[in-house]
Amino acid sequence: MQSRIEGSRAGRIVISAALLFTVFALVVWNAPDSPLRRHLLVATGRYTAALGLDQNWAVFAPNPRTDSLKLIASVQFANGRSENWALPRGGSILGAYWDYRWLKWMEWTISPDNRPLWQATANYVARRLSRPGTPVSRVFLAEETSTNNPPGARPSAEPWFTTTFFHEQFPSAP
Amino acid sequence: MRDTLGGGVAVWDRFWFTPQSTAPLAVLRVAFALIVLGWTVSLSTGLYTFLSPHGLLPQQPNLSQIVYPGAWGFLGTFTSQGALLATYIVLLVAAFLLLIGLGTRAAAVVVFLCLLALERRDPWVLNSGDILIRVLAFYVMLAPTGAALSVDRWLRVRRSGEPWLAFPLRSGWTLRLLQVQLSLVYISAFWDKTGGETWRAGTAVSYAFRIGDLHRFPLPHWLLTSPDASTLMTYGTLVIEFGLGFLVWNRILRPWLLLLGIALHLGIDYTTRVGFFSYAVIALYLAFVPPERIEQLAAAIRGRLARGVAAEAPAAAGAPEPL
Repeated sequence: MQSRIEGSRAGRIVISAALLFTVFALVVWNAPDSPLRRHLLVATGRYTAALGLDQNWAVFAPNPRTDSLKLIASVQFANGRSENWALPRGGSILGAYWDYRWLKWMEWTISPDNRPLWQATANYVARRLSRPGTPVSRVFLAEETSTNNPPGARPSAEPWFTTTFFHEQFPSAP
Repeated sequence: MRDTLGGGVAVWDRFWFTPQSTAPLAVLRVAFALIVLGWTVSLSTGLYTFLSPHGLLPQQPNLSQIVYPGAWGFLGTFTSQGALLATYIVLLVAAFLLLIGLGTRAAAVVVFLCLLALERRDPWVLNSGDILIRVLAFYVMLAPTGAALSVDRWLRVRRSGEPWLAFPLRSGWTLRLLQVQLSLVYISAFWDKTGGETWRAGTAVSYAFRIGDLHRFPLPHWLLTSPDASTLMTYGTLVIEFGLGFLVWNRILRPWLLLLGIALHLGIDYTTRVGFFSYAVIALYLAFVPPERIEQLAAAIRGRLARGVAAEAPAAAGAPEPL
């Protein structure tokens, strides 16, 4: 069927039109941000997004992070007990193929303009750690950061420091 | 004017529609299916946590705001945990069928739809590797990847006497799309980096390798903190990305650039928790592997198998009857 379409003149014209538009849409999507790109995106963006061809290859760009990060949730229970929750982390061999999803979640959660994810993370931690009779009353989200210095500088990284950026109180609190 | 136009059409036709061996597409399909199987299995640890109504994100977010208007995934409509589990199982089965090449086209369509649905359900857990897997799924869905190295081919040729291990010619436009995509990946990556001061200063790779939360296997401390080593690795990365973006179309440079690219991505995979990114990129490289190389390898395997059968035949003829 596909070979028949590709073999006919009409089929090639249709495929050529689709190819032309698809490659153009990909180039527009990947182009540096500019008024022209934004203008062209109006015509091509829906097509690109609907086909799942939206993409972003800015890996470690424009600059890699200079900070090492940790996301910690400090959990207080209704009975006064407290506990820390940290991101699940896998081993180096196989764990690296699943825990990168948690790392992406952390990167997005820590970014300052993502309040809905702060709430979502706090709710998840509260649900996960609550036990019958000992519900969670508060969750504090904190970012631990250590900034790497330029190569050759000593020390190679600054000490870790902690910033609490969100807290949520749950209805079971006394 | 008419001649110029006619010449342009001929060039276009030759570039996109010249029949090409299906060897690279068949090998790419196998590699891609293995990656999707690995990706899907690895998702089992976070399936409910990341994607179910009882997990981190109870609902699919507004994709128009986060991705672009037009983005969709069917788990935004079918929101139950049962639908999620069914999507997961269907993806596993379809990826296996894609691997062996049984009902290849249908399997590729299902893989694409399921990947799209799962990735759209929670865009906050995706890295560039996940995105590339989804993009590859789109191209694999369009390409005649089941024409060779597949059960589909075996079913087609079993009565005709044609060899199974052969690679029929097909119109080359899907292979060309994959090649254009590879070029775009690196042009975009290169361009994005040239805007960064650490890339221009030669310090970027040192910073990237020292991000503690992404750290995987260790490298010597001196390599991470030496300014000279960092400069070499940073500019080396930029040269490789520029080459893979623009110069990969040159037949002479291509094998060297692809080998350098493989080394770069295996290095990233060794040092950094990037999931399936490196493997997805290397799978995309297969679109540029000369079909003759794969066909030579196939011919060698076929010859070896034929010699094995010939050697066994006389021995079997003289063998005693089993009791």
